[in-house]
Amino acid sequence: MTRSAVSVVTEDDPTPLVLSVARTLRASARVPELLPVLRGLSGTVVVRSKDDPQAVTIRFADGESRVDHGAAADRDLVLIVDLADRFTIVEVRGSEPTAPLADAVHSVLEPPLPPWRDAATGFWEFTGSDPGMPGQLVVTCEDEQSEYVLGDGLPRYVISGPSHTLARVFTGTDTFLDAVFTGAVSIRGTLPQLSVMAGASLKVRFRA
Amino acid sequence: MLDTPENIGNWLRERNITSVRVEGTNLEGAFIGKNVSPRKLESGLTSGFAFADVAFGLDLGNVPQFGFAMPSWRGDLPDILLHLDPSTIVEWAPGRAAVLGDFRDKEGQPLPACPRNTLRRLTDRLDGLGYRAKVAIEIEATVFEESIHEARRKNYQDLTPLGGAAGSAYHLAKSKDWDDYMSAVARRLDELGIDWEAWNDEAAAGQIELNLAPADPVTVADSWARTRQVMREVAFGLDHCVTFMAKPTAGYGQASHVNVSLEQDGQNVFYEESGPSKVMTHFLGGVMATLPGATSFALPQITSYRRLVDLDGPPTTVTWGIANKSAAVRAVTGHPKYSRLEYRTPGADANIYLVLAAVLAGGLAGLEGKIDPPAPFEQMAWCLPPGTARIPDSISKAAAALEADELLAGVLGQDLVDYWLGTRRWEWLQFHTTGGDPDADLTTWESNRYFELP
Repeated sequence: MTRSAVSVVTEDDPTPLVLSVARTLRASARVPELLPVLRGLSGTVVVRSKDDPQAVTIRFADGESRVDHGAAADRDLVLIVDLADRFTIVEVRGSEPTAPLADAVHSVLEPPLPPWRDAATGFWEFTGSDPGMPGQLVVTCEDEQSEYVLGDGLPRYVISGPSHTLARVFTGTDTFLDAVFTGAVSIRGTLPQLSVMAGASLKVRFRA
Repeated sequence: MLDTPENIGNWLRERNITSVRVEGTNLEGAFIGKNVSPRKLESGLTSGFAFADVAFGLDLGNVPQFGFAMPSWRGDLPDILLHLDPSTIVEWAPGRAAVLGDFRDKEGQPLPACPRNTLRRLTDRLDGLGYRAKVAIEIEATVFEESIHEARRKNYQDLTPLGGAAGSAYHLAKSKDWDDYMSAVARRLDELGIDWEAWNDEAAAGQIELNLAPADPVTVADSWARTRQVMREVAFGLDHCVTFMAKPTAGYGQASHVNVSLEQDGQNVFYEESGPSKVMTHFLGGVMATLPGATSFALPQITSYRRLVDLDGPPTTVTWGIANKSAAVRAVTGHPKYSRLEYRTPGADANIYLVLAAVLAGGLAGLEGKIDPPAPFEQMAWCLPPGTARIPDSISKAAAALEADELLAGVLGQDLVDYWLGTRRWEWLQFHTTGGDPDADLTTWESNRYFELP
């Protein structure tokens, strides 16, 4: 069992969705206005993908959030979400969509994103020294027409995209590989670098 | 001797060979290759045959595996080269030959991720200690009445076991089509010079067990790769289909037990009249120390772990015992010829080159470090109370165990281990995020991915 400083706890052999939900809750705990919301939550909520069998059960109690895979039968609420778009709720089962519990859970599953430069800095600090990572990451923000350079080694790796997408990718909200395949970001680098950057993205998504 | 291009050319001409299948086994355990003309074969004998590096970089769903640091031989789709082992050339069918090989990088260096290279390297290392490894393996498979085309149409669901559904081990009262299938397989193995010892009905309906004869590790692994190809081809010819999934139905799963002994000057050095010899003891010590980590090789796919059910046959605990088939390793002792270790973890979906390499690596570590094993387990090793270590029961737990195993990485090679771990974590990610369900019984995601491959 792993325990974060804000008492977000996961099962011993977590699924990808368990890990990303737990990471999102930890991110919310770092947002001053969401921390009391998270601490005040009480109840059992199932978060289920609208597209596939992925599901988690979050048990909120006494300031602790425990995330396990699967859909528990004793839930108070089921949120059907679009995992391709953060945790956008497409359906609420068990209460009104605007009920306080549904509303509060939704808020801690979609914390505000940091500015893209802060997100990129956090990404680089968390992954930049991992084996196979490029020596320098050059991030080009298309809507701001600005560039942000991280690291001073070689080889270089270039990622370009709009600010909002960059913030989502560098926080692990979206996976880098999906962003590349859908054309949300463009890149310049080698195929092995694509692989290691995809791994770095997953590390942030699951472990940050 | 087929040791020169000229000799090989003559061999091909004498048999009127018009095409040659060059064959290898990739990291996933899939049998891969190309068909080349005799002229191309002769020109490629020294240069090797080019394959894109993604031959070692695609998952069984045909998607590139990403998410980890790649070794120097990977790049923007550079070639890797299959270098042939002429000693393996056979006439596969009239007019068609087949020959196995190892993969190397463009500088001619053995590819660290090539399973056959790795097994050969470890066999050579044992030779350096004065030991000759002798191994045997069991192949388990399930055969269905339907053709592979029909199975595909049915998404591999609700198929009809060949030989009837009243299956359980050793029954002879099977319908004749079951016997016809295995008799045809045995005939083909004889034609190809693949040394088999026995076949029989196994526990699940439609399931068979085929035992390959003991030999050196590379020869046995080569026979394993070719035997599975034969079993598929024979099934196709009879309008049936066969699968090596670890658990293709709700019935019993299927294994690929590995038997290992060491010889010195023709004598079995695992033998001692009173029990395990000192050599067997230390070899076993290393095997047991590395068993949790080696599980990642023995149980490589998502479905592999569905076998691990107490009382179902496969081991579930990190135990060994003398004549104890409920333990992960069974020691057969006291016989001058047959004293051996039976490694019972691997599923039928395991890459036997890698499993044998992992077992030999553990054994080598034990011999070189004079590692003593834990005490033998003398009771049933299933359904135990907490306190006995259990075999990792998921692909992610096994990957974590392998990552923590410095002993195994030290002998197998960190490059291979790192690359393998990257591919296993990709497999975990794909299962969970592209339609697999960890809480369901066998899913169509698994059948679609693993029924035909590796």
